[in-house]
Amino acid sequence: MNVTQQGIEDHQTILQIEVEPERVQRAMQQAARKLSQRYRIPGFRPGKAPYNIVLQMLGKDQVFDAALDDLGGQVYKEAVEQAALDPFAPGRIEVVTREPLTIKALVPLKPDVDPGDYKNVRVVIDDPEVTEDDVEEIVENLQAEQATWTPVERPAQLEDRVTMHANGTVDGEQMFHVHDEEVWLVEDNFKEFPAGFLDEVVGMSSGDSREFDLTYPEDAEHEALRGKTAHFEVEIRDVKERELSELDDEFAAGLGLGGVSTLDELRERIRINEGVRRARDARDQLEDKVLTAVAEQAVIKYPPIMVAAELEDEMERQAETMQRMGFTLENYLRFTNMTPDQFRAQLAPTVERRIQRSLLMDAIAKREEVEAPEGTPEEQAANARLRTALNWLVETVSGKPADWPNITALTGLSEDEIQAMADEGEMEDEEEWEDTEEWEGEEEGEEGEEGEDGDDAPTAPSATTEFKEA
Amino acid sequence: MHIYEVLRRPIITEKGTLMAENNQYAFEVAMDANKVMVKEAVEKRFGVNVLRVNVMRMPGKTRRFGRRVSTTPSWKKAIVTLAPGQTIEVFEG
Repeated sequence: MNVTQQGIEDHQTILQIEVEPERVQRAMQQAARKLSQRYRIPGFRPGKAPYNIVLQMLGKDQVFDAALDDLGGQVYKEAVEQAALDPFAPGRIEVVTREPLTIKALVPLKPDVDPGDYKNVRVVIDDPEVTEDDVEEIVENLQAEQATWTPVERPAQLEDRVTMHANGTVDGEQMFHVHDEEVWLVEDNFKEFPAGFLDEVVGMSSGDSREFDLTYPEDAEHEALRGKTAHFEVEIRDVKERELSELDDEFAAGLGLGGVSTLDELRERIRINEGVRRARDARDQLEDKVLTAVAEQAVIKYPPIMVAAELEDEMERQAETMQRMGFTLENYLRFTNMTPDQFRAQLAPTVERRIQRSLLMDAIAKREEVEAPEGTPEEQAANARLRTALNWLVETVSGKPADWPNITALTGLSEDEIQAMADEGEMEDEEEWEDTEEWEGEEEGEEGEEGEDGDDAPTAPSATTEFKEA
Repeated sequence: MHIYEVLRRPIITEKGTLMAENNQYAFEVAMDANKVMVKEAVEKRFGVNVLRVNVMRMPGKTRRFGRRVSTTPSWKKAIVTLAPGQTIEVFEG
């Protein structure tokens, strides 16, 4: 057997393997015997047909392919040994020529990580805090959210809600249509419209209609509309004004939060919720910062197959998550107008970063001889070990201990009390405090879902514009 | 009778493979062919020397289709012995 290695690229190498004809012959004879067991050859009991007959009945190619199934693996293994390689995963085998048999094998190499001078990386981060102003802002948001809308007869102003019927045409073609929709007149809702649209609407009263022309800016979101002048016809059906309720105990109690009956209690609850949320965010941020900084100065090499494999897993996970939410990946892709490959490309950076980080942490854990804490169940040991290593790294690099940020100092409650609140369903976030980072790895059966941020900011009815495909 | 009418098909079976070691090959031949015709046909078709021909009638088998019983046709088998060292390609694969 003659093995030549051709350069390393992308942390994988190509082996060109030439196999002796005698060996191929032997493998084919073995394969023929196996094939004759499987296929009924008339005139012969299974397994009794001689080599020549099998060759004649099934064709040389089929016998050759069957032989290659076994031979390829053997030859590959020997070649890898002969070339003294340390492969990470089974390589891909490709037959170059059949006679004499030459095989090209793509061998992914084991990831190679040099964590660098990670001990001397420094990261700074501020302690999270919740100020009185923060609390007040959230209270005000809640107030805005709870506001009632009453119809008024005056012309519309900013911050009002109007029921709008509108048509937009460009070059005589209808580009969008708003059909009797209630729209909140704030800048954010009109980003897709050319500047000045809002100004036109403001000042119109219930029952008014107006026609005007506006030009889309050169950097409009929809390419087809850039620089185009559109003709709009807008009709206002009614105008509503916002009425904020008084900030008092009654308002607080009316929110229906268990255990909150006064405004002060509401503030206290917000302070705790916000404290817990910020503490978690800060921890995530800190770990992210540390890992980014350490990864930047480290050299992490791995074969592309690693990303590909993880990407497939991730796709499956995404599909599962979607299924749990009641729709399928196919529908999602159709809805977002993406091909599976585009979706994959979109996931790739995250997946790649996850791989890099877990390789990095693994290397550091190895170097620092970190072990999973005593008594960790075996199936969680690998993750626990990386988690321990990460906590150690974070402390080394940022000086923040594993229990930073101090949640008790932030909220005045102990972890247990917070957990108890979460169990009672009084907290908005039930995510496990520990599961902040996902580790890639086959050991892990379950992945923490990406927490959908149940943002409680006042929601604006968006001006639904239906853009036609240009 | 033309030689292609004499020799109907080679009989390639496990048993036939064993017989090949004694330089013997089996054919299904026409019912009305005789030893001489088989010898001539094999020699002409495969370019070999035939030492001996044995022929036998293979009686048809009874087959049942529900209540009806019928028989498959009888046929004639010829076992041809070649001169030492000679072979017939179709049997060897």
